[in-house]
Formats: sequence, structure tokens, C-alpha cells
Amino acid sequence: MKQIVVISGKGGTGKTIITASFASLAKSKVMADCDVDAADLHLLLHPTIRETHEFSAGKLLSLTSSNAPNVENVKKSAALEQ
Amino acid sequence: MIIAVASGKGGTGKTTIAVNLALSLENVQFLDCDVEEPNAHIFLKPEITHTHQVNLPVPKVNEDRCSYCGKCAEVCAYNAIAVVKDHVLIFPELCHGCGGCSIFCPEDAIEEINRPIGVLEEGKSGSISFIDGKLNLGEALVVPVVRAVKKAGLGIRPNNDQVTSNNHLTIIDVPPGTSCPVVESVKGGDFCLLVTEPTPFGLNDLVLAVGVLRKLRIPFGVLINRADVGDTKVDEYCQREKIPILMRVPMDRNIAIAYSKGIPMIEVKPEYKKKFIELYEKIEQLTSG
Repeated sequence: MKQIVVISGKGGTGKTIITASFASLAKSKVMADCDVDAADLHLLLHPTIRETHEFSAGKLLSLTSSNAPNVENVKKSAALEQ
Repeated sequence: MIIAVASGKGGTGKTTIAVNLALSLENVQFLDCDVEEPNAHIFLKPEITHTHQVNLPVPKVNEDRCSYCGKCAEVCAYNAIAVVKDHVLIFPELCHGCGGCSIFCPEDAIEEINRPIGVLEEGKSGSISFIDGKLNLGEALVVPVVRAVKKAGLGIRPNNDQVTSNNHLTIIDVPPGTSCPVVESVKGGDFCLLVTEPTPFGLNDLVLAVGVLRKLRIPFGVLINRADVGDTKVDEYCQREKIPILMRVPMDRNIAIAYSKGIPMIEVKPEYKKKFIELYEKIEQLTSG
């Protein structure tokens, strides 16, 4: 499968419109909207949502006595920040 | 007073509005926090007097003290450290500079060294104090550079919450989107001006940006750019959500021509200076009560 990436640097130049235009031209295709913090491609393509998945990443640190940090280092680090 | 100019959607006119607001007022400091694509300098043509390197603290292991216990690798949320038998591998480009590894190291074997990730520029454009940040090509960590711009302009304390407000006005050009760089840019602001356009795209991303600002409890209002094209959905949304529409800028060929040459609109449309002063007065009113 060939992959075409539509990118601009500057916002509002027309990435989504060009991508949607490709979508109407291409025969067998997968469209991916990777602008995940302000996704707009769905406004032009009106997809039927078949599946929704939770996405999780990163780790949450829980502080217990067994993995508590070296107290002297924390103090030193706090002193450095002031 | 700190006014952040944001939008959600890109290309709605954040930089245009932020720059013209700054040029219409006095005693202004301008911070371009769109460090991935800083553009305000094109309008403002500042004379840069100082340039500083922006660094990220990354770990350096003193192998004489290291016991290869693996605690640093265990606490690193970004897999920037791996401990293999009697060797510690560090991947600086993955490190977020949190300092966790050195804090948790039981042998005190980790020191932090500076890795340059961007540049800070300070200067003057007429009477406007100007600061912008530029993320180095190939770097992924935007927030530390945004933080450096705000720190240079506002003196943000290390705990990152308190902004020592100066008497003069600070205008912040915020990057597009709704994630960490936006949050870092608007945080501590007294008011956020959301620049949008009357299109389904403008509205979709405005709704997301409003969600961010409500969560951060920052007062905000909307400026509709190219206000006479498109539909009325943004107006209806603002009415429904009781969001004040503070100004409308119509689609104007002369403004567009000036923009395409990097000329601020108040230079070709001086009558807008009064409108921007009125906009500021409205914001002052909204933040005073």
C-alpha cells in the first residue's frame, strides 16, 4: 500500500480539504486523520463510526514506601529549583 | 494583564489578531509561544537584542558510583534509560527532563546535563517588547521551549503555577491545537481570546478549545474572523453557551493583500486601531468583575 502524507507546518492552509479531495478520487483507500487534538476530516467525509476504542499511553507513578525516593536527593533537587 | 490569543483550529488569524492588538495598545509585551511555527516576527520585524539557548536537563551517569540497580530505568516513564548488566544506556531524545532518575537514584550517581532543544529570542519592535521561541528542527518536546518563553517574559516560578504579573500588558500568541503546548501557553493568563472562523471547521475546534479553557478556569471570549462568510453556527453556539463575541473582522480584500505581504492590517486599515482598543476595553471589563 502506498502512503501519502499531507502536511503543512502552518495551520489553516488546507491540509484537510486536500486530503478529503484525494479521498473522493482514490478507489481503494484508508484515510487517517492524525490531527488528534483538533480533528476535522470527519466534517467532510461523514464516516459511519463502527468501533470506538480507548487509547492509553504512558504510566502513572504511585508512591509507596517501597519505592520512595532517596530523601536527600529530593531535597537537593528542590533546592536546585529555587 | 496577560491576554492569550488562541483558537484550536490553525490559520484562523491568531497571529494577525495578536499582532494588531499589540500594535493598537501601549506598553505591550509580545510573547510568541507558537515555538514550532513562530510567525509573529514576520509582522513585527523585531530587532533581536538577545538570543539564548533553551536546554533540557538529561541524565549523565557516573559509572564509578552506579550499582546498576536499575531504579532509574524503572522510574523513567519514557524509556529514556536502560540498564543492561554493567552498563547504563541513555537515550537523550526520549528524555522529558523530569529529573526522576536522579531523584530516585540510591547511589547519587546521576547528574543532569543540558541538551539544547531550542532558541529564545528577545528584542524590540518599536515600543513593543518582543520574545519568541524556536524549537530546533527534529526536536519533539515543545513545552519546555514554551515555558522558557513565558519565563523570560513573565518570570514564571519553578513550580510553574504562579505568574508574577507586571503592570503592563502581555499578549501571548498561542499555538494551534488543544494539547500540552496550548495548555502551557494559556496557563496563568487573565483572559483568552479565541479567534475562530464561521465554518464547520472553526466551530468544531472552537468547541474543543472552549473545553480546555473551562477546565483551566480561564475567562475567555470569541473573535470571529472572516465574519461575513460561512454560516451562523458559531454565533448560535456562542449564544447557547453564553460566550461573549467581542469582535468581528469581515473578509476584506485589503486586509488579505496586506497579510500576504506580511503587513499588519492596522497599517492599511487604520480605523481598526480603534476597534482593537475597544476590544481591549471589553476584555478589561470582563476580567475586572
